[in-house]
Amino acid sequence: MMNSLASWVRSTAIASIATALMLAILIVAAEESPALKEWLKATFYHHWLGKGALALGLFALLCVALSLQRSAARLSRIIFFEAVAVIVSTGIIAGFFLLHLLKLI
Amino acid sequence: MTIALAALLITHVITGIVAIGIHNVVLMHLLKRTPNYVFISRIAWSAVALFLVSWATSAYYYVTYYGTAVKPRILAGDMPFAHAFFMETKEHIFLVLPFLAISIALCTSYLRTNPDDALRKSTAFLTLVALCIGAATAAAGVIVSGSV
Repeated sequence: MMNSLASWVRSTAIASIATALMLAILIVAAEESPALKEWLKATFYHHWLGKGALALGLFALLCVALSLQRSAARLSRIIFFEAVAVIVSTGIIAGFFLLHLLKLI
Repeated sequence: MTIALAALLITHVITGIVAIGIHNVVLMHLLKRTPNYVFISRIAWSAVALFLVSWATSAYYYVTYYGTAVKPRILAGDMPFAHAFFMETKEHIFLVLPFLAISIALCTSYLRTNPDDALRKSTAFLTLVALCIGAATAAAGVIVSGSV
């Protein structure tokens, strides 16, 4: 039970890292590529729903897949990297829209 | 705006604010040397549920109403940056919050049976990040609402 829960903590943290970074890339790419934004709208009804659905899908997939693996990596280190990855991801998103507002990109 | 949409918007705001407040409580307890992990994990999981409700209610309001009825008024008003920066950033970084909340809740559940000081500190740091993102999205929501 303890090992199982540790696996879920680890897999969820890694899935969150991947999802946060994927979201940052997808959001910037969709703003820069009208074709991608149109595909998200056409496929998921709205581009925001598309980003949310892809994030949920990736998160769920990685959580389940990685929970089946065993790892000796320290949980505290993974959680720390998760926090850093989320800071980087939100920094990219906020920075992109700030630069867009200032018409620098 | 219909009564149903108003109810969804109010639900989005209240559940989001309560969930952010819960993360504040979780953080305060994680900063103690010997936290009550049973209490922390219970409220951390309730934050997950509240963020998911906030996410779902905001999605319906945003997709069916905001883009056609609110966004054009903001862009035509005195504060177009309220949408161009604050709403665009808020709607996107908000997508990350439920995943963080799940991770925080799982960590606190694990700590109930496996007290680990290093993990407690990392989880506190992660909760601080989630709290800052939550507070930033709430503040952005205030700016967007005030710009209409």
